Amino acid sequence: MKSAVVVENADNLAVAVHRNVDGAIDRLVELYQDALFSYALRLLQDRFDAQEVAQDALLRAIRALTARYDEERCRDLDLRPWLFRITRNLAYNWRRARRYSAEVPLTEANDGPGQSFRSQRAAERTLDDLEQQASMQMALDRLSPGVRDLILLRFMEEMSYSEIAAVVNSSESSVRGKVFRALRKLRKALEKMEDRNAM
Amino acid sequence: MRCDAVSEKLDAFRTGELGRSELEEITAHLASCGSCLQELADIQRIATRARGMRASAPEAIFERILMSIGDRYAELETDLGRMWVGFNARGITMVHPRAQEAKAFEDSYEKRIGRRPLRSAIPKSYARSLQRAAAGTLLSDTPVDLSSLSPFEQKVLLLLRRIPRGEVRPYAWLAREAGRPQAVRAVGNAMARNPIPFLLPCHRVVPTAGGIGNYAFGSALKRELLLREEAPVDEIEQLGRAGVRYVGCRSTNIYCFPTCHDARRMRPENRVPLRSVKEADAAGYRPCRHCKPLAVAF
Repeated sequence: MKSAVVVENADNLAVAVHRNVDGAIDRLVELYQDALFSYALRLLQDRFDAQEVAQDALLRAIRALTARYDEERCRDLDLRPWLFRITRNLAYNWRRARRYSAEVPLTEANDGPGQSFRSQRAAERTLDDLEQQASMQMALDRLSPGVRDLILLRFMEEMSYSEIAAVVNSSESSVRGKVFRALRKLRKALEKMEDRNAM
Repeated sequence: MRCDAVSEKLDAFRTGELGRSELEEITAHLASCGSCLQELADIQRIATRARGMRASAPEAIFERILMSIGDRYAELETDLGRMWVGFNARGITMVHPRAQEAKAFEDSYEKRIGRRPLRSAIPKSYARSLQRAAAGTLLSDTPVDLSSLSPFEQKVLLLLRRIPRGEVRPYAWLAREAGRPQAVRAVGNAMARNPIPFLLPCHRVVPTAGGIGNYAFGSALKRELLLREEAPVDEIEQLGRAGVRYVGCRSTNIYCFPTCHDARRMRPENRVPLRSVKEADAAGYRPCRHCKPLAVAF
């Protein structure tokens, strides 16, 4: 599984990128492009925006590791939370900019639940999966953006509470409490939707 | 433990993020509490669905990120040995036989191009072109980025691509084609400083006086490269020693550089060795429109 690889390599990878080791940058991009893109996509609900944000985040990360940070700082870096924090900040900036721009209103975001599964892998999914996906997305949409963010990190990215705390710059116990309350809402929302479907 | 206390910790319980005593307490509670067990199952279901929301990044993102980094370099295995290859989004920027260490190449790259390259994989098309160039079988042009060079150097280096594979031209010809017939020495310097040897074929440029001439990586390598490109190296050297610079054709009254593909098609009985443009003029020959030998008339 991908995340297992990430954990194994993470401590050396930042230093390897810093030292300009052959293939280190390529590995960094390869390891994190899907995860950062997924995260940005679910935050922004738009494939184009998500691509821009994920791309920008990785670029900034590479520039920081190779040029701005010294080796010690790279060694002490918690790579995964750090990358997600960069992505998160950029996505929030992006969303803020979009909100104030008349040209791209939020309602026209081109990746609602119905359109997000164009990939080949998605084509193999059953209708049932798609329905579940859609209801999950709808349930998530009812949460406030900040809380939805935590749920994505916790359940889509499978981060530990301490990692999430590092991403959102908060305390572990505060994250736990928020996730707990969000879970309660999510369960209720999903239950309601399923009851309606059953009828 | 009461249900609400358990409930709060169920998710951390799911992922094993609890201490041992809490873990045991919750395990015990779950054994006897159906509703908490149901809640755990719900959380697990949410987790499974959330994992299903992962998406794959678009194919293009990988290459686009790498290309936006700026200048990069990689090591490449070719028929001429290992090489360092520098490149960016615009094209190949610098090629050097791998005599130096990575750091030394980075240093010389920075000195020459003005930016420090990051090490990363080389795009397949660049690798293929260079491997073909080293094998002497390159036919098509590959994008290059010469923007760190002077306009004259850029012009001269790009003109190299007009010399076909298997043929050679004198330095003076190149100077003339570049619009500065007097700048033969400058052309020589540009060749010696060619940042992209093999790919920009400076090995196809020879002394006006004849022979193969010098090469930044030794004339033996130049000879080898020309042979791989099926250039008539022995003939070039023989003609050079004999002072023959052009070949005229009795049947068409045209004269060429000896390696011009038109010259090589002449029948042996029609070939006339010529030592100078004056001699060709006197015999009533006109210059070939392909290899443009007149360029060296001055």
